[in-house]
Amino acid sequence: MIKKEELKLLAQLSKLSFSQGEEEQLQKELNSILLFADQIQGIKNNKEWISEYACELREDEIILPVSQEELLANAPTKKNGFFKLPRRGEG
Amino acid sequence: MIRALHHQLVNKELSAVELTDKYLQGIHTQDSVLHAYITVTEKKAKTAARKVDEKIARGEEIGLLEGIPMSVKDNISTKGITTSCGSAMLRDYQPVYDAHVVEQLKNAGAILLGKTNMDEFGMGSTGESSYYGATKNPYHTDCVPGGSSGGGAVSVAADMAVFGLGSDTGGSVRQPASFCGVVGFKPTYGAVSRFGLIAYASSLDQIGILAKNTEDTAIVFDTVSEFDCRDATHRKRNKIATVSELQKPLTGKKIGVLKELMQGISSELEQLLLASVEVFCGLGAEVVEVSVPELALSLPVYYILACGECASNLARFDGVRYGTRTKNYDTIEEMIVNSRTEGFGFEVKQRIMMGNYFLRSVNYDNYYKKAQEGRAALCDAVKQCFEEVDMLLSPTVHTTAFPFGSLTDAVSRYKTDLCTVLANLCGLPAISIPCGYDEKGLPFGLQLMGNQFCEHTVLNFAYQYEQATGESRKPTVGGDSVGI
Repeated sequence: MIKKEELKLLAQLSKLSFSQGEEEQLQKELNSILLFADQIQGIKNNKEWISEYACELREDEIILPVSQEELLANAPTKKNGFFKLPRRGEG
Repeated sequence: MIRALHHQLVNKELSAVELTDKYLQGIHTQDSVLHAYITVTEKKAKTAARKVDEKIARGEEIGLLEGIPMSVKDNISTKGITTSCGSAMLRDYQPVYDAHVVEQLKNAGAILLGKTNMDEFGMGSTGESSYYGATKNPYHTDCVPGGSSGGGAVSVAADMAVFGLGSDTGGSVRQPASFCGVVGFKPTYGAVSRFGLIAYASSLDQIGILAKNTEDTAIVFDTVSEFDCRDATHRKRNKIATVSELQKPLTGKKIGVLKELMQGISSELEQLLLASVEVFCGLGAEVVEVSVPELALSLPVYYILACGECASNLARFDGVRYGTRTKNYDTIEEMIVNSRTEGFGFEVKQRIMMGNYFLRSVNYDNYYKKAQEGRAALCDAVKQCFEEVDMLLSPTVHTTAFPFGSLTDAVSRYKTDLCTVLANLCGLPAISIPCGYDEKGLPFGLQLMGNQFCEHTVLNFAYQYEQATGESRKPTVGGDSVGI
């Protein structure tokens, strides 16, 4: 069972915030999903899935498909070729 | 359909501009009701079509896909065209590059009509969770089209595109294909580059194809599956052109009907499936029953892994480099939290929360690790099946399309994926093909799943079935038959 305190911790880990009404709805839904997920507790297999194929490696050569300008094109704020953000701990 | 349209273009019975205009007209007259598209790229489509006509006028040869109108799901990157993933988080995001599959289709001359509606970030099976509003099923507009590639399926079903690209993580191409009466194909994991596909669950996602028939699906697959070094999970293989394998007879082939996936289906739909089995027998295939008891846990295994992977993949959306940034912040922490809270819908937030629960160090062994063990057991069981049969058969979904608002809780929505998640968990190629209609006239799909990298076999079986059973019915909206 996910209790209110754990819900708040999960919200912190997820970088999300919820109103009280949303928290109640979410807690109910998450616990119902957890009950559904708990069916797997019966699984007894010593082997975890890993892909049977290794990643395809390419030549170690520099590929620059996009320019710095293009990479900044969708930035909400930018300055002098950098993403611009508020300072940590300040407004 | 692609081949027929190609001949019309080559013989100048129809110009590329006329063909594009016809499909754009289809969008103008229907999409205010059906809402299959988020963005329609009318100007670019007409410009691209004119270039094809100029090429024809110069007497140059054109390829099969040149001048053919297509739709692309809105989680597949298209340079300079909004790619929103059906989310407020990316409502203004315009990629600075094309996805590999888009590059391949553009190089082949296909005409992009627009970006199709979808459940937000691919999370959903009904088409109800898009920030842009729900897409409607063209057979019954009070019913869901399925998801998450609902817009793509509807664009093809209602003749608003000749073919569409979608993405399939747990059934998101096949399920809406079944609900909308079109072909929906998910290739093997690693058969098509995911470069430019905005990730939901990276070990499960695969770009898929929606089309009116199997030959069109094969033509598109052969085009988009060219090797791409930018996706490290894309396999370099000797390609088999699937189009050239379609005509092979099924004599001597063996099909395994998945016993566990036939349970719980209504007798009406079971009859449609059994009739399909008879068709395969008539084509010379032997049909047997196979049992995979591990399927009982495939859904919880899938949802644990998918939620865990999505929690990780969606951590990149924080209002820093791209996407919606909140106006409501003083500190960087508030900026990140509020951007995510405002940008994501409830279903996405729920899955991120659930995923982080499963990934927490105190829970990891009991959930994520155990789900990986369940996945391994399922894959081993399926491998054994393919030592005995060439193809697996099941319904695509246990029902036809249901009314909007029918499934009010998460778990009941998850259960609609029962038949489709197997192919994603085991990386198998799988296709949904129309096999009939229920008493309300809603389409129903049959699913075929092949062994890994046997796209040519899956498409061959589907093509032979299609040839033996004829074409699907056109949808009607408001009593009038729609489309070209």
